[in-house]
Amino acid sequence: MTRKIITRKIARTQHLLLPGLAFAALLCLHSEAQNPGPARHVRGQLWQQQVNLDAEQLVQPGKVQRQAPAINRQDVRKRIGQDIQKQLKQQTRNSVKQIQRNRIKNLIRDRSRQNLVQQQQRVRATPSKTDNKNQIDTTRKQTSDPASDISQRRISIAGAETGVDSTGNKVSTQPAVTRTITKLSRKSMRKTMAPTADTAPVVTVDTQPIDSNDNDRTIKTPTIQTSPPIVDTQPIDSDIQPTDDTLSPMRDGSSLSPTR
Amino acid sequence: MTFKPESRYLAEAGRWLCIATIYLSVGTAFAQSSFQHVKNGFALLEKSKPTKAIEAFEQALEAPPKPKTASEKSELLSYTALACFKAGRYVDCLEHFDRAVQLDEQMVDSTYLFYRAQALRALGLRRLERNTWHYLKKWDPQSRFVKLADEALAQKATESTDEIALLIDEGLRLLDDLPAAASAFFYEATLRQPSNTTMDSAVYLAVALNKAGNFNSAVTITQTYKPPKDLEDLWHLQTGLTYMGLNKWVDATTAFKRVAKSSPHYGDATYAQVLCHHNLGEREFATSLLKNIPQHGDLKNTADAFKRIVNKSEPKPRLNL
Repeated sequence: MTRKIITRKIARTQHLLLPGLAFAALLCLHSEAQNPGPARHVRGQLWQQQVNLDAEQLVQPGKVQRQAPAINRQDVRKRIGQDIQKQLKQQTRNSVKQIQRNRIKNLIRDRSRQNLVQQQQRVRATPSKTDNKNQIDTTRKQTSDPASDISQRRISIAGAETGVDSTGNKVSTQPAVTRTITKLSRKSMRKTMAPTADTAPVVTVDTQPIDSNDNDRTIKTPTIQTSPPIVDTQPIDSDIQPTDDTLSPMRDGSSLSPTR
Repeated sequence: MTFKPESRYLAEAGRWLCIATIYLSVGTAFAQSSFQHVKNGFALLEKSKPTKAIEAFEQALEAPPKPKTASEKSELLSYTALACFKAGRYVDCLEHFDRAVQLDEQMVDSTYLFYRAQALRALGLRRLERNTWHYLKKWDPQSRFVKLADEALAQKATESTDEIALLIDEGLRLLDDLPAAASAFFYEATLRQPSNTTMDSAVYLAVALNKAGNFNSAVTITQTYKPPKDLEDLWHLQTGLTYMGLNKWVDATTAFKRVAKSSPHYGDATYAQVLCHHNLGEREFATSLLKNIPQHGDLKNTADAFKRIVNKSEPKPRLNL
């Protein structure tokens, strides 16, 4: 029974046998063709064997002999002049390539700068959500050229300083010496300070020092923990409690303004 | 899903696969890799068939996988040079060795210098041969070739000043196809002349070195020798082209400025200055010079094309960053 099944299976697949064998042969031939031949050190040995044969004796000194009829020097000079034009054309092609490369390079640079400025503008827009004159002192400059403003920007937030470096990344300027509390404790701090629905909207600035042993400083920069966007709609010195109507900062359209 | 071996579609596919495989197998069987050609080349050298070995090494340069680095290409060129030496084609040997060294300076060793000296000896370029033996001894005093070098230097070489014209003629014959070998003939002719004379062989030597891309040697030549009066313009042009090859745009401009206004090469020199000033970033001056190029062969078309490209408005940004 089993033999019958096997025989039937072979019969069913026999039409694939020839292509299969041919494919295997192709693979063998291909691998042979791709064979890198003698390795470098083997080639070196073959080379040395040949050099050894020549290193035994000097060749017979030859004599300068005329191989062809004398050449007209004037024709040669003319030809050399034409060659100069060829060389200059080659140089022109190289210069054109250089021009095109420079243009692409400039485009990339301009685009990167543009992106940086856009990124910078986005970063600037972010603190406006938590803009509160009682707690946040924004001392950034408004200049006509945003790109020139990048390195000068400093946002002082309740004792912690956050700056933006030349690449547009946020960096902390707070001294590392004061960072002694662990991440865990910071998390627990956040939890306890999380705003509830009943509480007045408060901007909580996480100024807790971070573990000084932790290497990733960019992540550990003091971050601003805000309550939901209702914060922007309520001044801190206001006695009015937030209502459901103020949940969306976009309703009055003014809460996102950094100058508010 | 049931498998149906009798399905004619499957059978048809199998047949086509078979045909394609056989076709590819035959094609691949005859294709040889670059290094297999090298293997064949050395085998042919062992059988004392250097002419066929040259063919094998030349095929190695063209066959896939093509040499990716300059070092690999240089290695293959040196094998060809070796085969050329064994076949008695000393001019080709010089050319291939020089090209190999141009691609990879690491190729310069006592073996290279030995073959160069031997080829020069066989061609009758005895001054250069002696220089090369001296250089070999200085390069590697412990080399196994030093004994042969001493032997060659001990032999007296007979030189004749009548051969100078022959050397220049031979160099001019080789200038277009084998510029590196041609430069050896011009250099020999230059060395055989008294040092205080002006010689046209030095001009041709500069041309050959520039054509071979050996700009560093060309600088040495242009600083050492003086051209005859009637070839001064050509000399300054070659000096400028040498500096252009080394991307020394200021020196190149200085050389091109020396070409006289009355010279037939004045247009070329002015256009070369345009390129130099452009590459120095002095675009406005380059554009003003471009206007002054006299009508001069088809260089005018090149200059116009260059002007169009330089003045072309900025293309639209294609890169979405």
